[in-house]
Amino acid sequence: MTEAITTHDHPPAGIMRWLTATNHKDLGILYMSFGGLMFFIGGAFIMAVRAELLLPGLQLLSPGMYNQLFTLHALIMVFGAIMPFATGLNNYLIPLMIGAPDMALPRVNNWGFWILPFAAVLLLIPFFLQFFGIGSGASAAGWVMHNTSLDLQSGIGMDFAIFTIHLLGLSSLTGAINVVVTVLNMRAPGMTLMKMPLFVWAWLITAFMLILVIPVFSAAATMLLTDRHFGTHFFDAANGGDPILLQHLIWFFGHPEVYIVLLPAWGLIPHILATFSRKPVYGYRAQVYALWAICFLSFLVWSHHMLTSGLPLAAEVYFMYATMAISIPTSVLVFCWLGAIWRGAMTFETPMLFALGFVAHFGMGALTGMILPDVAVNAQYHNSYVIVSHFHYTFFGGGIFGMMAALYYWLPKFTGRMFDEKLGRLHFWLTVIFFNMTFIPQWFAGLDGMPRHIADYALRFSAMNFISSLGAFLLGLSQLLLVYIVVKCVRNGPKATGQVWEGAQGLEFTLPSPPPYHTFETPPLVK
Amino acid sequence: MNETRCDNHYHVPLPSHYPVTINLGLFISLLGFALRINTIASGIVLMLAGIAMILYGTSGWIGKIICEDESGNYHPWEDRSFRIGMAYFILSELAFFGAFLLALMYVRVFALSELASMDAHFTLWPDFKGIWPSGGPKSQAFTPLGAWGLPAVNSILILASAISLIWARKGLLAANRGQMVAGLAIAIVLGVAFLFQQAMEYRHAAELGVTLASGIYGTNLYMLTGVHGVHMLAGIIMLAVLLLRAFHGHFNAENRVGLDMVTWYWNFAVVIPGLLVFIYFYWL
Amino acid sequence: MKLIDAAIHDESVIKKRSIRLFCCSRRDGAASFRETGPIRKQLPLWFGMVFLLFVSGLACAQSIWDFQEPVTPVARDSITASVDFMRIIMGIYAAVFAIFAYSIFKHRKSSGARPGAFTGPGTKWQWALAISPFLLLIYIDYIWMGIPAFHAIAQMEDTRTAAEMVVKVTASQWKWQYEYPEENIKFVSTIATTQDQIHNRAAKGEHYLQEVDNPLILPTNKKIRILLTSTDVIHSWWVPSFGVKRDAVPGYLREMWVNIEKPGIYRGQCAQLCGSGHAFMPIVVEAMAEPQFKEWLAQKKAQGAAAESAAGKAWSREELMAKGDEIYNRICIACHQAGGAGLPGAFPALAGSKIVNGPFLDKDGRLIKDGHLDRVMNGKAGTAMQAFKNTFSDVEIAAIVTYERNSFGNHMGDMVQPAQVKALR
Ligand code: HEA
Ligand code: HEA
Ligand code: HEC
Ligand code: CUA
Ligand SMILES: [Cu+2]
Repeated sequence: MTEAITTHDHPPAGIMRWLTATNHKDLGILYMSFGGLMFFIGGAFIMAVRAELLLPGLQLLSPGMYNQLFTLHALIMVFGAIMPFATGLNNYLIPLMIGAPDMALPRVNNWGFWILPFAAVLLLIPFFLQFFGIGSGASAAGWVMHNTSLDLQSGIGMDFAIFTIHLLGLSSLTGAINVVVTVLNMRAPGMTLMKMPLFVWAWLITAFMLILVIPVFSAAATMLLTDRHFGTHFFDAANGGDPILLQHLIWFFGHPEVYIVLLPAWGLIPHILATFSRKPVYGYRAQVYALWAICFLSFLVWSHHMLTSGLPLAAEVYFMYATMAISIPTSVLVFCWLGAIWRGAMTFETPMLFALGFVAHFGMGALTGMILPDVAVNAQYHNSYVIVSHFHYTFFGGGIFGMMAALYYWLPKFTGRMFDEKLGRLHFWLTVIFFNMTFIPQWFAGLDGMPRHIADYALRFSAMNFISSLGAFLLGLSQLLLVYIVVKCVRNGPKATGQVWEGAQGLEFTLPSPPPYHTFETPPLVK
Repeated sequence: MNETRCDNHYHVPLPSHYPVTINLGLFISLLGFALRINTIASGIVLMLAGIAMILYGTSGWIGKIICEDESGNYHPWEDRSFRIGMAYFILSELAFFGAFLLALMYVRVFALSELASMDAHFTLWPDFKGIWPSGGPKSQAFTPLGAWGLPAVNSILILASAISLIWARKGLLAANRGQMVAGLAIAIVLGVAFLFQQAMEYRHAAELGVTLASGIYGTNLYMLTGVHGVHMLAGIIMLAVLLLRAFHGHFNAENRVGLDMVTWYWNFAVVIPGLLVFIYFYWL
Repeated sequence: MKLIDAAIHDESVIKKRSIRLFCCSRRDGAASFRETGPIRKQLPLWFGMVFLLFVSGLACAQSIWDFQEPVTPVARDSITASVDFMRIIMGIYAAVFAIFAYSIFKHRKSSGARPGAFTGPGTKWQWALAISPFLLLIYIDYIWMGIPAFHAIAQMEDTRTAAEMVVKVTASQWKWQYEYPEENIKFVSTIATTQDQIHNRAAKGEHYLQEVDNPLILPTNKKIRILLTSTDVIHSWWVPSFGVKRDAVPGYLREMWVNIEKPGIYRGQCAQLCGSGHAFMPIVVEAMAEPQFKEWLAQKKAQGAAAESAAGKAWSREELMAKGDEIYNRICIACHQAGGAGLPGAFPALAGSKIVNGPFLDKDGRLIKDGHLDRVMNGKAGTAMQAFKNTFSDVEIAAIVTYERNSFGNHMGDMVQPAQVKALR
């Protein structure tokens, strides 16, 4: 038995260390590396899409292939890149931040991570099989599969996507339960709930949302599976079902899901802003309550994604007003970020730049979100590029910027080495410029009436798409710089101190960089 | 919150290969399943192989936890982790059931009435009344199932099983091992009886013409009871493990986290959903 | 949006606009630009400038905020709501982020700022400042924009009051069927752009992808109730100029209404991901004054009668083949591809297909289940192959079946007569 000779201080060597890992730092690194890898795969898929959209006419892809590509892009980015990366951060950081020896359920933790690579492979199998003439390719029905009958008539790819969803659901669920247990049970003495860092709070709330909505998504996928293969009739009007039922179930998951993606970023931004403003966190309580309020409201607004599906008048009005209410707790967060830098002594290292970039771009995404639920005009926005622009401002401008900020902020902590600050800033500026170049034109294409999900478009949309595609290519290329920066940092960056940043606060910065394999085996005392 | 700790050392388990094994098994079995339902019959082989791996992994993992438990690695601090974890897991199970129950509600309240009440001149389904129980405009005819036969008996069975589990736990707390074993055994018997009756109920339903072809009614019947049945089966297996452990003299009034967790699972993720299905599907 | 339209023909418009965009932001940023020292110190400033660039750039670009020209009351409501709301959020953005930019500029360590230690609003005055944005937000959401939105929705959803006419739209992959129930007229509308244009083998026309063979004809100044349904998957009927978009859900009816105020040709397209032909499902509506509309109705009815009699006559192989060729390249090609090659895995090839090269009628003249004619008339449930008897005339079905049996290397040599199809319906 390997276990006989393996002790706590000497993890098994080689691949077994990672396969059997129960150490939260090892798993954190695994999660984050996986997330990073998937970001590039998801990005590569969408590069093909943008190349097709560069000019009107079909140049590279068949329409069916186009649909597969953006479906895979979205699934991979959301479930493969952002969520695992954020989970990696929580794995690495939560025990350090609350002074715990590890996550509460280390083996469950391993279980949750090692589902992901299998799920990714399962998702991609049909995509590659089609090149050998087997099956009709991966799922091509959009990331939330909201068009039932289309799902029903899709080929083998849909079954693989359904099973992928089950696996991903299991992974998120185990991860979420682990977070809840860790936070509720593993805090060091004196670390009361209201003393926890905001990142931990945000993850606690995220986990809570995951536990409630992931099963609904799995249930919807299960219904789809039985409708496809076992003769049930959930979504078939002739037999008393309703295609709209699927949309209700899926958006009941889907709307909280967008906050699940963003909450971890909301939680870590105050850390970074406070550090580089050299000030304490501003409005701690207000932020905790705002996060809870957003969590609560997010369960009540799902139908704003289906306002054109012919809901009754009363439902339309309700979902409009309820959705608008989310702007109130969200603006609490925005003002707390403002309070965080106000009268600080700011410096602008790369993590700070990304944090400020997060605020700027998420602000645009959120404010554009504020106008979407207005039913009087949603008919014009819905399923147009306006929506695509909106959610990339939140997902990329919010989620990815947030994750980048976190990466730069804690990378020296993880690796014990500093990254190249100059290149980091360059990466930031390139990302900002090309990100906007990609997604601003999409807003205007949408206003002008360009629907999403189309492989080819009318000539009136050419100018905007051309700019957007160029922006996307350059955005993609500038992300390669990130790889270089990380590799360079890990290989031969200068040594980092434990404190890393001058103004950094929090338990994790009381440890050396990188922290030893086991930390806080006896809990620290928090005043 | 932290005063329950008996010492300052949390048990951090050593590396383990069971989780990865289970995942590989999951992957292989789902791959096989996907192939199987897409006319590649040999997928079944993969599926079985995968399931075998999952069984191996889970039993190994659980066995290991039991070993660790019995060799005194777990203290109230670790126990609390398990309990909180189980509580939130049950919450997610309830959300899972909730989705199916809400689907039923949606159909009963919204879908059927909308199908029946389209504009009279343009209706797509003339002559459709849309009154539950109904299988939708095009479904085969069937006779709806009554609530006061087998379903009611079944509900009583699972209620009784819940009570007997609580009684078993009382026995443990009072250091009455006989009562604990008896309670567990009774709960298992009741559970098995439930499943058996459910099978009879399916046969009865088929005689009344309630199949999947009877539209949304049959769909809901088989899905709700099916999902419930799977959880029931899992619960029975857990209870069986408990019973075995009880025979081996495991558990005592302080060290009973396994028993508590399974009791919760049984009462909240099996019994309550079962009763809800009875109330909302059969009765109302 | 005329600007964009023009831009396609005249690239200089785009250039001019982007120059304008630049000028604005220069002017705002330039003054403070000079005050700062070495490059590194300018970074925060650059940051502020990017904000200004967004805001002022968008403000300059006001002319492209609009939707396509609104021609119904609903569309005018929606454009007002959109423009108002966009102004509001841009105002908020400018205000909030001006404060951010100010702070970023003022509270730099390099300019000697001392960090404060406050963690929340302290004085009454600060509390008031902290609360006021929420009041403002509530006012915006529920009063300023909320109340007009409520009225607009009520109007939008009131499809029945004073409706003077009904049109029923049935969507299927990837075409629209339009029906005037009161007039007993029904026809199918599919994309008219050729495959050659799509695959860049021919020059693209002005209305590339937004042109159809049979546009929907509607009268102006009449409240028209539009019913929607679908035969397969969910589609969505969207004409930006009308301000309406509504899903067509299989098995259910959805409704909306339009009252077109201006004659003209309006273009839109399907707005719900509905499979591989989703991008090729345009909608064209031709609105004309009542008298012309009446004329068109009469003409269409005469055509219907002619088609009716055409089904009775015996057609020659050549006539059927020519018609079949036209239909194939308009409709079937979307799935079964040029030359009947199909798409492996998704759509079967018709060239050499067992079904196409098999019998289709049994000896009693009944349809053979899963025979060629049956497949085309009744489709196959659960797949993209739909029942064409609902949308095709007898002649069309006869033509397409005859065509397929004698093309792509299939040499069955037989044919189907429209009269046969009629009898089999
Ligand atoms: C992380 C992701 C994320 C986030 C955070 C949001 C945030 C919001 N979104 Fe978005 N949304 C998506 C991701 C996200 N969205 C995605 C992926 C889709 C498309 C899915 C698909 O169809 O594929 C979508 C689609 C979508 C729709 C459906 C559109 C349609 O298809 O018709 C709607 C409609 O209401 C909507 C609304 C909102 C609202 C109201 C918010 C709110 O949370 C925003 C609240 C914030 C604010 C309002 C601004 C904050 C305040 C200030 C900056 C200060 C204010 C100051 C003063 C007033 C002084 N979103
Ligand atoms: C976290 C979520 C996330 C992220 C980060 C992104 C990132 C990007 N997205 Fe994504 N997107 C979604 C989530 C996300 N998207 C979702 C949910 C949908 C909806 C799908 C649906 O409707 O079902 C969608 C849909 C979507 C569409 C609409 C497709 C359609 O409706 O037809 C487009 C179109 O432009 C698009 C573009 C982009 C681009 C250019 C990026 C870029 O930011 C990506 C940048 C990153 C890289 C490029 C990777 C790094 C570089 C390399 C791999 C090196 C190679 C580089 C080159 C060859 C240049 N996305
Ligand atoms: C929306 C896509 C689509 C369109 C448009 C379409 N088909 Fe099909 N067709 C299919 C699919 C999918 C199948 C395979 C059905 C199955 O699984 O058996 C099919 C099968 C067939 C078959 C049987 C071929 C075989 O060998 O199995 C024939 C014949 C056929 N179609 C004729 C037509 C004709 C004629 C038209 C045009 C009038 C047409 N199709 C338009 C999707 C389409
Ligand atoms: Cu029909 Cu998209
Ligand atoms: Cu939403």
